[in-house]
Amino acid sequence: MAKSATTPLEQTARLLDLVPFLLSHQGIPLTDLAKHFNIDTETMFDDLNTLWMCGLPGYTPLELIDLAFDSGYVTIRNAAPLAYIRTMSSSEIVALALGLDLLREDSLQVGPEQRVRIDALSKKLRDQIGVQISISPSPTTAHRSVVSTSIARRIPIDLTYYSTNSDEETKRVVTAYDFFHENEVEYFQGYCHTSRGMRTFRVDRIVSVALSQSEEVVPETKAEKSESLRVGATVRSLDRASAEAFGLAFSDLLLGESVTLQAFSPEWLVRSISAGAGSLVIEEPQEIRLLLRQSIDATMALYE
Amino acid sequence: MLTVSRKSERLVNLTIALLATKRYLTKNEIFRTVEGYEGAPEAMERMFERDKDDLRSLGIEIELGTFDPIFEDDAGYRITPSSYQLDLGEIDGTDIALLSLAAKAWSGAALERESTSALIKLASLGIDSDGEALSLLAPQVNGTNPNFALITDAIVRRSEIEFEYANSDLSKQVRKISPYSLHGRSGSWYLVGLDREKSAVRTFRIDRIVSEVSVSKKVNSFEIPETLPDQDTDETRDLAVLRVRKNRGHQLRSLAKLVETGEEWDEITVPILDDSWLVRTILWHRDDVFALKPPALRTRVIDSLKELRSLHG
Repeated sequence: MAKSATTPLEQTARLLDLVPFLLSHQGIPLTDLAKHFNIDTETMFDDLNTLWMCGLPGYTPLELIDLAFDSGYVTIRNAAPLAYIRTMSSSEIVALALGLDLLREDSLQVGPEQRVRIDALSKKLRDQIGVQISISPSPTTAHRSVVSTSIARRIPIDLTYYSTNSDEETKRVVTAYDFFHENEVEYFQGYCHTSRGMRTFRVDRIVSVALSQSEEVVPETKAEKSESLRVGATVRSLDRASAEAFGLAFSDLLLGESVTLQAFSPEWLVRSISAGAGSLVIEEPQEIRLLLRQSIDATMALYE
Repeated sequence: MLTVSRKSERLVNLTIALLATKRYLTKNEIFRTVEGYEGAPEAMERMFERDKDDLRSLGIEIELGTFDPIFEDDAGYRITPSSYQLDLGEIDGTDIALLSLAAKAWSGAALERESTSALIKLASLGIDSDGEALSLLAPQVNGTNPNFALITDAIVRRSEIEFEYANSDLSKQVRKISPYSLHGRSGSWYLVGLDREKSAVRTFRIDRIVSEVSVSKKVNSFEIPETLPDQDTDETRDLAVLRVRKNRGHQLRSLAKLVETGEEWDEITVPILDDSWLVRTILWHRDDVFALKPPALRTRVIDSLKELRSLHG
């Protein structure tokens, strides 16, 4: 593995944290130690070599920190002055406090007793930074937790899902397989027993979800994943919302240039192009252009 | 190849010396005894100043004091263990398990590094975590945006920030913000802060920030108000009246202040929070939604439809 890039200051922070960690984990394998600190073993080896030369002024063997790690197992002695566990930085506290917020919302897993504990811990942490930092968890957290339970335990879920393709709320029974991210949006994939095929769902479009009593099993031959649609379009004006809808980087949109749009459903594509009010013009395929024109005509008819 | 960073070695030695001392150490004592200080006196001075700043950035407070109230020149330095040391009060295995799960929420997300180091500190306490609590599934933060950590840090330190923001027409604008808070909503993170040029509280979606956020070094530059002005006061907004087909237009219905049900269509009244957003959303719903009032909105929708038709004719 390549060595982890690390600044002297990052290394200092690690060295200070290494001592109390080793004092409570005497004899830990070097490889495990590196894993805990999220660095490769070579960098950990460098860290230990550096730490080995540190100690109290005087720097004779009596004052230096005594480390043994040649055998691949790490032990530490003579490190009393650095035995203190360093106080958490504000970013570490924020990370923990936010993680607790999310955990707290997880009503499926967390009982009332644990919630009381979480609240107490959260207050303890927030008091340390002395700032009312208000970072609220996203409402999708609870939904996500049910889906992850479904994945972990292979239990189907009863899902009410808002489909933007058809602007409808639909009820389905789904066996979830895994989560994935695309353009910062979280999805999960699963077998939909209602429509008998693999489907992709956006976590933030879940209306409600619960573990199902249904005993549906996924058939051996799963229906194929729906094919994605590729459409060529010209950029007529710069529009942030259109870029976001199609998951394009802002810098990909250049006036007068063509872009390739991807979508799983022609209906969704037509809606998203309409919403852009002409910022993107579909060039091909002709079927989609036609579909869009029919849709515009039907809408225009309402105003005539 | 063995690489030993002289700088980190010196910083660790300085920390050890200042932590172990019972009395204040003078600068001269430090230069004489702590390994790594060498060169001309001015060079050592500069080195020491930088080292103090570096340790402070790691959250280590170096206390300046004097052991002789009469000779103030003899001021010295030390780190008190009580300020250095983690203090979570009484804490047991279940707490450790819950905190570890909280830290794991950041796996693969913006504060992963911070949560890894927090986990190490928790593990160093040497308290066995409660197995039952640990068997819960860790929550997951959705967000890998590198600016996330910079912004949270700026909120905590109350430092002003600056960044380039993509407007709705994708033009970029430098915004100077006193950051107040961050919220996660519908899969996106939003920053709320005072726009210093507009003197008004504004909300920004983090993934629309197109530059690295630059954080001012100055801390405690502003106060975070106890309650933020409500930016969504509907009372003063203009209202739009839309006709929505039965069982359609859920997004718009959720905003409705008034619904009059009909047979095929319902008539809903929604506040106009953002003209462009409303036009887009009406267009998005195609022939399931149409604009009745105000006339300006209706005209804008019709003009957009005409434009779309001529472009795709």
